[in-house]
Amino acid sequence: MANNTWTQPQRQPAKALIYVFYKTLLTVLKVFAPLLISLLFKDTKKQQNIWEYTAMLIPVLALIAAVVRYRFFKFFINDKQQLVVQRGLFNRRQIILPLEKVQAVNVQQQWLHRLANLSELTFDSPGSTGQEAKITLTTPQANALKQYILAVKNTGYVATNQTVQQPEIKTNRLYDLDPVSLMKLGLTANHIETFFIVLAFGYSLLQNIRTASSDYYDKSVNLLSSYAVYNSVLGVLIIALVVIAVSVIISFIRTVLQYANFSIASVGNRFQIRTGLINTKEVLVPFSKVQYISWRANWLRTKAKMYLLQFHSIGQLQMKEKQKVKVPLTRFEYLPQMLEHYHPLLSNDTPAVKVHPAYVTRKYILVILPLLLVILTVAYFNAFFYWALVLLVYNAVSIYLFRQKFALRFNEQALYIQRGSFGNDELILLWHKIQSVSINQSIYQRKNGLATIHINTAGGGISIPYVTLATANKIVNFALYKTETQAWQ
Amino acid sequence: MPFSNLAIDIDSLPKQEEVPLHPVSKKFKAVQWWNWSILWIIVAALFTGFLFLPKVNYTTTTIVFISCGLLLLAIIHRATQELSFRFRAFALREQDIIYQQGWLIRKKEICPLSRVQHCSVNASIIERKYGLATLELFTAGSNGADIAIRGLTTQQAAMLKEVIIQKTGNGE
Repeated sequence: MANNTWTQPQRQPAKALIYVFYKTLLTVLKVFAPLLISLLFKDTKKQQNIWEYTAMLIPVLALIAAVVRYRFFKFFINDKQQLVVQRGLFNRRQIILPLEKVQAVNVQQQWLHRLANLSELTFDSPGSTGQEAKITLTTPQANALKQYILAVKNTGYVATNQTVQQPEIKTNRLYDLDPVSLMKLGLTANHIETFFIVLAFGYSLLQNIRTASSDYYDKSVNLLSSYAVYNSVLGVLIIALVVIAVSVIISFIRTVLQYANFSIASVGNRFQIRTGLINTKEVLVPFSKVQYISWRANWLRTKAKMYLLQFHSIGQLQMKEKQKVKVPLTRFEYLPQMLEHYHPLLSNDTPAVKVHPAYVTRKYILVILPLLLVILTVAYFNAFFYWALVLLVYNAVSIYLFRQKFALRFNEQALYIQRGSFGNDELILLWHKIQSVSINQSIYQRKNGLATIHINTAGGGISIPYVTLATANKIVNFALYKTETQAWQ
Repeated sequence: MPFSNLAIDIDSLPKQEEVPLHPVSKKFKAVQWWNWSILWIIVAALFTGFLFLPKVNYTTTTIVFISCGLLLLAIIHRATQELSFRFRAFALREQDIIYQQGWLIRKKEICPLSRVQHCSVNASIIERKYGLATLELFTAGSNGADIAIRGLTTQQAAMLKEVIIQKTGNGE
């Protein structure tokens, strides 16, 4: 369905209105969430009518906003081969994205998109412009526009007759994620993180109820505390177990939704990654745009020998963590395939640069000790805060383990860092992808001949803490030699 | 040290640590004074204004206490400015530019000229008054990667910019 002239200013297809409405409704709901919660829990018979009418207004407002957004959203490709997106009624805004700057075109489908056979296009480009220019199209249109843009990028120019000639592209399917691995991935997700999210969510819900109605708040708190504090240790245990179970289930579902149907292939000179059960994503990562590659595993996953790998490429810095696509490595044998177009793994045989022991003592004196004093002071007034000591111990152990695990190795082409505290976090960086370096020294480090190196790349920063100044100088001199004798793109 | 497997002898590479750094212009001290004064006059004005807000009703002891705290912060700020001035220095090599600053944490940034995307020379009103300028270098790196060299004389800044544009072909 490439019968579309992209050079004409045009609206999104009428079907896209559904999605625009859905998104607007979500935004409006988020803004009015406290109000809605207060409606649910409010003391009855008080000013009931006014509030209910207000609540009814919300979808109407959202609909009007959606239609306005839809009507005033236009996009086209101008004769300078720039993608132009115009939008807004009061604040007319025009986004111009030169196609040559587009690093990758991503196709995403949320569940609503899939129902309506729509796709959302986003673009990776240096700066944030690419992320802002989001276009919702029917799936065939989206694919056509994507092909068109990629063709323009490859050839520099496409004739106006719209039939885009696809050059022969070699597709090499690398692997799909099988259901068993998916289950394992879900079970080994970061449950602790989810636990805190659940806790924070529960707390904010409770606060919202409190603002709405102190009656309900008191009731819910009494209900919770009647189980927990007054009854027995068993009550506390049950609540704790329920929260933990909920966390595990939620993080399991989240992971499964994210990585179901995962597949990765090398298509021509780029990786093609597809993932997602309800919200699907397709991301293209050109090999040459990868700045560095990292892979990490939490403690559980190190036991299951599973990693999440990430290609750090240009244009991803502005992305939220959630939007970044990670590759689940369910077997370590997959790693060489991922590194094939970058640099093979460095061997572990050579001696490594390690972090100086002073790293641990300094962190303990400068971070842990002050925090300990703060916690003890606060806990003196409210015994509840003694719980924070658990976090502090966790941090202290993390710092110790980080220094133990950190190892830096390098050869003439690349440097390879192994780090992590409870889990593992490794990365490989080609010297010539470096943008700039800095050597930082605190007063203590200056006195003791130590230094911290910061390396900046177009895909993010890397830091090498507390190495001897002599080593730091050598590493930096070599990095400069490599970056100054080789281009980065 | 894992240097033995390298074909290149690292010790024979140019050493950035041996490059003599030029201190920035002495006039920059005056700029620092001005910046400090303006900042703390604003803080003092805001604090005084805050005290006159209708609902604010502090006792004299509290006011004295907070004022002393602010004064202490101002003195510490001024002291670090003074101490850090001695370390503010830069150097230009054939292939890169080096900029060092900071006393509490001394930071030595090195940016290869081949990685500079564009550069600009800026001067605030105060800097202009003393014939100074700031040279900013932008790379494709993450946010922290951009380098701003402050305290250059206008001529130095223009000269550096010229060299960088010639080396990279990328101007403003």
